[in-house]
Amino acid sequence: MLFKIIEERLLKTGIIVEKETEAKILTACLISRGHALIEGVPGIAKTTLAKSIARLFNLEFKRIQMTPDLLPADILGFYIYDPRTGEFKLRMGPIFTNILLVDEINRASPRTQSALLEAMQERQVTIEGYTFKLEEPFMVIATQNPIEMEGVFPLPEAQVDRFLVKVETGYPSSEGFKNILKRIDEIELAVEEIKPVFDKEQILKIMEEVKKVYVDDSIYDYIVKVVEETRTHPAVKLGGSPRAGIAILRLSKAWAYLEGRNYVIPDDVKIVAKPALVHRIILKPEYEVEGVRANRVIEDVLAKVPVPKP
Amino acid sequence: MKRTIALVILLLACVLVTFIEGVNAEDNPRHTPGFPENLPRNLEDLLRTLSEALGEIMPELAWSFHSNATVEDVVNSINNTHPKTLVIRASQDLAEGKLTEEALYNYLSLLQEWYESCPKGDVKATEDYLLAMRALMMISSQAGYTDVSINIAKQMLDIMTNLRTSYIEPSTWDSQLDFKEPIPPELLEPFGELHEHVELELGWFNRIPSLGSIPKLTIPSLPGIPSPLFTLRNEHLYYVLTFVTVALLSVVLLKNLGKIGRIKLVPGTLGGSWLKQQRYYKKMRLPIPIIVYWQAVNYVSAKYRVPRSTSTTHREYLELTKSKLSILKHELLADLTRIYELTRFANIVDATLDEKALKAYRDLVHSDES
Repeated sequence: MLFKIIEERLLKTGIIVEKETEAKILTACLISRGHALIEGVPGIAKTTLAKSIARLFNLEFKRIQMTPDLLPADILGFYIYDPRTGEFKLRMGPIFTNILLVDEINRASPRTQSALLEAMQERQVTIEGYTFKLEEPFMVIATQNPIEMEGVFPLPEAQVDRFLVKVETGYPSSEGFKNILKRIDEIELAVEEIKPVFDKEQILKIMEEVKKVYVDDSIYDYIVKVVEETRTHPAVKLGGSPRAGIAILRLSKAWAYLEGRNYVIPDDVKIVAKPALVHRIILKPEYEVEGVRANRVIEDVLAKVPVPKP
Repeated sequence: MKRTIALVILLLACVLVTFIEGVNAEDNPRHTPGFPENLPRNLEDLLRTLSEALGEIMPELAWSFHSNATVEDVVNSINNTHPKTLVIRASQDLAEGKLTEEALYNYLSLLQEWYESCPKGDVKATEDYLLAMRALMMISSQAGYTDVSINIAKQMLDIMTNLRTSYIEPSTWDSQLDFKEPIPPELLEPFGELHEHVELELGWFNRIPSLGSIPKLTIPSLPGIPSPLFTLRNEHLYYVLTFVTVALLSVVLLKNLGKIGRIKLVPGTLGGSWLKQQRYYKKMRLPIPIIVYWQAVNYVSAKYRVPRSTSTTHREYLELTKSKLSILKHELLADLTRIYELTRFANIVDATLDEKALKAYRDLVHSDES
């Protein structure tokens, strides 16, 4: 039901073209209290997608363009002296929002990247010794360019693991591209005029309902087997951690909810396994050189692990 | 390698000798020796399941399906004179070799007429009616009229399903079995202990399952060994040979399974024998929709050559069968898949789902046979 509304408002109206899966994964990520990493070249509607979802859910949206000279305080905020009152006053950074788009996250210095760690994991920030809770729902959507190699700081494993999903997105088809060109002025205007269909309270309620989605014992076994199998694959140096399993479980529940079910089936696990695992698997260099990708490893694993029987 | 080849040759030799022995001992000229009975096994399975479910109110009926009862035994358990006389006449015709298909249908219609004349809800009459049908089914099977026996089995299936689902004379039935409640798991087990015993003693030899364990209808897998209708002269030889055959077969299978290593004996996958499946179902105490769904998967896999791998989900399998099945059959499988999903993953236990699953399965199989 929930996704049907998103589909009606964003995809059928042509605001988002050919990004159905991405929109669905981002929504699943939002309602399972996760953060998303979108990897793709510039100019493929990553920002538009994030912005549209924020507007649709009537959530506050902010964007940070990462650069090497950006400091943690630029994201979190800082205390500034107010000469009128003679006191230090908190100036909140862009992190105090509901949906934060961190554009080109791998351009920021490791110090600034790590400033996001606490916020993403603990959902709180510490400024000058004071801790501030972030308002729920809170979701970081970070983007990175897979091509650029110079002037970038690849995210360390610990940082990447904080993201519930990694979405790899690409160019639209020729037909879709033509469609965008024809309607570009309308699209820009339509994004600004998206009317919210949910409010924050409803989103919080949905998040609670997602937690109650029924998971059969055999599905837990299946998730465990899938994650464990990633560790034994010959091309894998570092496989899925328990956190990867938790990510699959949460996303499966959210996916089932978006599909209108209150129970998880193995198909949900199969669908979400790729975005939940792809950034958590580190391949052996010799296989990487041969062109083996994490996506293929996950496909191998899913083709090997038996689904719950009978 | 050489040892395996030698074992296989020895095994084949033993199978051949046992086979010839069985053929020589075979009395019934109409039944093709060395092949399993033609009555579809899944029909028989369903009848057994249902007869168990009805066992509390019809103990004789349940007994007739769970023992190696002969036609005479079944006839002796019939109380009313009329159905008994009809079956005895059919048996005599069979013995004299003058039993025809028409005659069988005639006996069947006379039996139906008698049942219709009985008061509605008469448990004893229903029991006798079903027992007489069971006996006629056995007779027609022995006489080689497979179509007749299949028809009788289908009719019995319909009657037994209706009995279990409907509220015929609630005052009579409800006192013995509350149909509103889910049927206790022990009644739903496809095979009782007695039956399993019989399977091990006789049935196993009759129906040596193929490795795939799936074919249960008209597709013969490995040639089976006829039932031990041997002469006394050859009795010991027969037992020795069958024992040696089984032992060798086990050695060869174990050796090869050990090599393959990863084959798991799970229903619906390669390597799971039919008997293993039944034991697995029994052990797991599975609800009817799950059993019926896997029977349907086995059936579709064998009949339409759409194998289901261990990593294929129920929805993926349904998608795979789309191009192979007709729209009607695909719809029926889709219904079964939906019910299976609800029972298996949403943990919904509902008697109406059981009935729907049984109906969808029956329609799926019947639509093929008609």
